[in-house]
Amino acid sequence: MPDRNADDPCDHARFRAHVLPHLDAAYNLARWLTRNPHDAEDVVQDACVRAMRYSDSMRDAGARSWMLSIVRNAFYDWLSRNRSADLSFDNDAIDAAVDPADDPQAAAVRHGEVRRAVDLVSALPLQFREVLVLREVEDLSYKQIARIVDVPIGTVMSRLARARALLRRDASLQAIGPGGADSVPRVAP
Amino acid sequence: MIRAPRGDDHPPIETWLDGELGFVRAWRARRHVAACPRCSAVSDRVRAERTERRGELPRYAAPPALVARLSERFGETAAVPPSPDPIDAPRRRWLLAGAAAGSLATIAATSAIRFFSSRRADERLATAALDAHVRATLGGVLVQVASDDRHTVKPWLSARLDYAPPVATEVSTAALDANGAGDEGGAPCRLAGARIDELAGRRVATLVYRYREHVVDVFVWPDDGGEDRPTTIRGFNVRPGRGHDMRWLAVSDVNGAVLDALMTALTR
Repeated sequence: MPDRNADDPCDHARFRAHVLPHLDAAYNLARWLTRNPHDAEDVVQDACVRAMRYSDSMRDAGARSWMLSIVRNAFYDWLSRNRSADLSFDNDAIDAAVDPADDPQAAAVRHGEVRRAVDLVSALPLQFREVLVLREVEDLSYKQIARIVDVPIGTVMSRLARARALLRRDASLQAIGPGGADSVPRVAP
Repeated sequence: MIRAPRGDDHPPIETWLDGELGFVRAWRARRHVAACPRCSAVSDRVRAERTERRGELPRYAAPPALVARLSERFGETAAVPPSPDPIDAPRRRWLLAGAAAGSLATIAATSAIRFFSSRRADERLATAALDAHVRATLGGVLVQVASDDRHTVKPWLSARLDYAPPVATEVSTAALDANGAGDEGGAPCRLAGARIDELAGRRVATLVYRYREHVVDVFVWPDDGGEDRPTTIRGFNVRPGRGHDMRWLAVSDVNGAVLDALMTALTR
């Protein structure tokens, strides 16, 4: 698809109609994915450029979902450019990440830090964090999330269940409070 | 009809509370949970967890500087630099007069269009509000934060929206007695909680009140200049209001007089 000239008045109208109303949603997702405000701005900016390029493909009905899927793609590209080491999404890596023995949450508890829901969610592996944020912060339906993340609805449900189980486990780890590693019981996710 | 829960058909509580079970299964789940101690305990625990989490997780708003930068780059037609004017003074006077007449005609035409389209817009708004109300009361998620404490509900809402709607805990409808609202008047509307809805493309705060056995949804969003009229759709009363720099829309099956009293009290 050809690049549009940003001075085209049609583009201004398109931007105001389809992109501007969803900038908060876009920024919120980018902020939760990147976990910091500066990178979130970069991702949103890139997403806007893409949104304007592909705005022919958008329909009024799902403008927010459409924008969020662009933000998500922009984020994963940003991630592969900046932190390719973090891009390990095969299931083994996820299972390793959620093993209580070496997860950052358990380590934090061992160090006696008290963490709140924000930190617990931020500590979730990406695949779980994105569905949880889309559901519980952005209030989207399973169907909308499935479209944004580009997986079947069943996968959305299982990731969401996993995300919530992890949060439950981490919150109960936290409730036990500071102590040695041995005093932290293993709670099945 | 079997009211006792059978061991093998505990519903998926998380999915149910997400409002994703569909009408019939949600209805069955609600009936099952009411009768099954195990499911009711799970459901209470999950609800409490989510309420707490939702109260704590911020919905980050785009920083104004970012919005300004992006608007300037993609959306601002006014950002075109003024060009030096090659037209001499007398001609410019005529051009200006013509332009003024033209703008007056444009203003008249746009106000007419706005008048008619705003009438259609508030019918759409009332219908959308009613749909949200019916969805929530029929086995959907009635409240995302269940509390009768405005110091819980208000921060929960303002963390998720770019405005902080006024939240009243208990609203008296006692003034109705004099107006002959019969046996329905006098009881207070009590805050039951709140949720976020999407109404005509924007996220709005929904305050949920209980009036006797009725549920009253009150949608609140910053005043955008739109006009609504009171109406009744399929037996539900819809009452608009304006106050505290907000637009309000109450939807319920309670009688119109009670809803009027509630709106008057909330927007005062």
